Amino acid sequence: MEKPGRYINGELNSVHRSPDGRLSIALAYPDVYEVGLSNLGLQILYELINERDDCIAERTYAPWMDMEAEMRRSGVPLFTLEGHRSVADFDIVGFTLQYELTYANILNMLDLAGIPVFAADRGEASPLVIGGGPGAFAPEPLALFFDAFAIGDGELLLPDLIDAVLVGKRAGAGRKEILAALARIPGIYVPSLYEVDYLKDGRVAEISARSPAPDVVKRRILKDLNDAPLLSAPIVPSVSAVHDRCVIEIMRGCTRGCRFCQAGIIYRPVRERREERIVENASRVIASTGYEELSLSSLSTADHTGVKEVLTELARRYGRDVALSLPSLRVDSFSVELIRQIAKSKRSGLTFAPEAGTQRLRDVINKGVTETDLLEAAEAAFESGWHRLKLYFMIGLPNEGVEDLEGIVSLTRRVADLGRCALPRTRRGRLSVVASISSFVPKAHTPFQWFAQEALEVIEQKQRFLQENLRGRGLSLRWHDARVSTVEGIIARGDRRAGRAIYEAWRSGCKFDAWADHFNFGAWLAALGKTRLSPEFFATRERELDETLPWSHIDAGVTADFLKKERERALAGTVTADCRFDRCGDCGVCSRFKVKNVLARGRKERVSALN
Amino acid sequence: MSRLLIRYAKEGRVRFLSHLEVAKVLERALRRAAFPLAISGGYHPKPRLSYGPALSLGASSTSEYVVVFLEEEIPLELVKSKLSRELPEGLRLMDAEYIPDGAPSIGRIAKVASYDVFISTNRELTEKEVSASIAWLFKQDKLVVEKESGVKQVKRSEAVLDIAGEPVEGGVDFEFLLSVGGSESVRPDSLGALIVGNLSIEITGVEIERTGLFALVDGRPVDVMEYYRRADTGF
Repeated sequence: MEKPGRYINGELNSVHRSPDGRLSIALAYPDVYEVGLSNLGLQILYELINERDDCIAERTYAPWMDMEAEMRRSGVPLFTLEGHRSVADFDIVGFTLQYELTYANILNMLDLAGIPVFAADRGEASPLVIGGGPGAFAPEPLALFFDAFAIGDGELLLPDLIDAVLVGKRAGAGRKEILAALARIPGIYVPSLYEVDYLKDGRVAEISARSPAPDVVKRRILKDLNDAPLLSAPIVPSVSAVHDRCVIEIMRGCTRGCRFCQAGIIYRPVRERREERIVENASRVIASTGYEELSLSSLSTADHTGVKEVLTELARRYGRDVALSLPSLRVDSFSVELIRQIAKSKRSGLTFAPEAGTQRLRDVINKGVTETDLLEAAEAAFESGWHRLKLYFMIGLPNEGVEDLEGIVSLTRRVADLGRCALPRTRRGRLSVVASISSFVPKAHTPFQWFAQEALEVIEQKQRFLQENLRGRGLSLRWHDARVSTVEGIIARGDRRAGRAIYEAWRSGCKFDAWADHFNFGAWLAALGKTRLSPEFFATRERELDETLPWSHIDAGVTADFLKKERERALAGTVTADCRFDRCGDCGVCSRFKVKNVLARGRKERVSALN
Repeated sequence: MSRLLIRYAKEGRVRFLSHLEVAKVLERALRRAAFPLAISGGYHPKPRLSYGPALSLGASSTSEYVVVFLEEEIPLELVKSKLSRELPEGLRLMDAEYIPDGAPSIGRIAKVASYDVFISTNRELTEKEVSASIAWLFKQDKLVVEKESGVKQVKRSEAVLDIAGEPVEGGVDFEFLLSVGGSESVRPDSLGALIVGNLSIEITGVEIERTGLFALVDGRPVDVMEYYRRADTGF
């Protein structure tokens, strides 16, 4: 068996308590241990639950195929690591929904646990199956399999959810009553209380709620990250995790306003953690884990208004013993300056994400990056000693033309030329510029949610164009499998019926679809065929602006008018400024949810520092 | 720079952690204990640690060793109390000692290890069968064993120092004294399989525990911890 250490627990900081008399929650990640353990959100929830005396959290991950085969052969159901208890015996099973291609694994894990895969088939003894995370914002493809979804910040949702279930259980309430109680909690969506009607052409006609469920489920938003408890003792894996380091969340949300980006909408507004809280958090976690690397995490870490000061302080305290890292770099020389300060070695290379090849298209997607920004960043990187750069681009964006693909080619070449000039002669041979190309998948709740996803054939044609044109010394090209993006796109904007396709795909053996070796496109197409759904309907169809979208009953915070306005501005190539430092774009989150951007260093100070 | 020798046990579920995985767990425990670790130079500075011979995945042990390089000595009592607190379930600190200056490294002196090996079989064996089979093994000049690198022949007299075995309920209990590290060595599970395989029965399971690690002094095994304790005063 591969890596048996995945299944044995006993990791540092894992919590072992008796479930007796406590509400038991199995936190599940629908991928292997090494991937799941790196998820910060689950670690936060784990600590949150285990700090309470009236409940316990244990963890479970998708067993790899060798282990699954062994478990099925010898009749061992899916179990949690801490207590080696059957997941079916828990009161709640909570899945984090991070990526559409892990959804088939969820069905497989439920089945392996002996829990009925369809929520409607579950009886009083079955756990409540609850989903959270970004996938909960477009939950319909999973609606058949989940009892409830939690939409928004877990620090607020989870305590309410636990309390409601505890109250229900103590009062001897049945499953239906408990679900009704959950539906009354703001931010909890109970799909069985909603009826979906379809038009003849297959589009959603109406989504109607049954009492006591609200017509629209409003996202829960934590006003200030400084009010959230600090993660103090994250679990340290014994088998190397994908991100084997301690991770400190320094801010939540991003208002840069990239129009393709779902995270940029569903985590608004920006909530920065204060500098002293970050440093305190870091020192606690370093002491409790012994980790040798610390990463400052957020959607765009260089945007934190106190990031430089935080890094300086952390380097002063821990510079000798702990390596610091930033997960994402902004495309500018400020970011390079930051990373230069903290990087002990320049082996790993730097990654920038200009996303599109021409200024015109970057304005369409509102990626506030100019060619000058990129070239300055690249030059700073080369001059600081890096010789490997990776550039992220997307293809298949709305209104993309051949000139935009040529733009990717010429921009990548210019960066490589710059490298050849900037690097000393002796290191020139090691120059490597990689263009990493993904294909655009329109996501729910974004200004691009109405656009058609580009057809598979066209994407593959564009990939060939880049392959033929992006050749040369020091240049290389990587791309994502466009067939994976097709399946991702179908689920990302799917309705309840798309869940049937996930079910059929799983039945035909699909799992670990996020693993290139195990992705089976043919099986997914066959599953869609079986359910008489077409990939075209979900992926490559442009939506009408007045269409009822399958997620229209989920309120992520911004108004539909704002998304429509942003879509218009995209088509006109008009950029929208970042409301942190510029005028408010009236997205609706702050006015409707009584929240605002929380900056560590105040807006004025930051703006004057920039000038 | 001081060399701190630590003996620890690896028991229960952690026996499924590989040598490298255990190394990482130990390194982080030492960091949390805030010992004055000596750090190696180079691009990726790391605490300097060296280990005794690797244990195969799935085996437990009451005789694992790690040498920790410290910038200054800290009292052994403190080492024991602090590190014990930081070790995860299944790794248990058993003993600690400073290696005297000038004494050879553990890699150079650790030559022999003892094992308890339980082999479960599909039928009960008699004492006679077991002792005959052990006697058969000691008559062999060469042992043919499978290693990571393929099927190998090793010299029996160099690889195997001693074997004791007795039938118990469900199988056979062996005690082995075997060479470790060198090319003329055999893994305890392979040796057990060789002995029992001679008896035309089926092996249904193997449990291994390493019970001791020894230096050879005048051809006689001396516990490594004991070796360093005596190194101060001479043998």
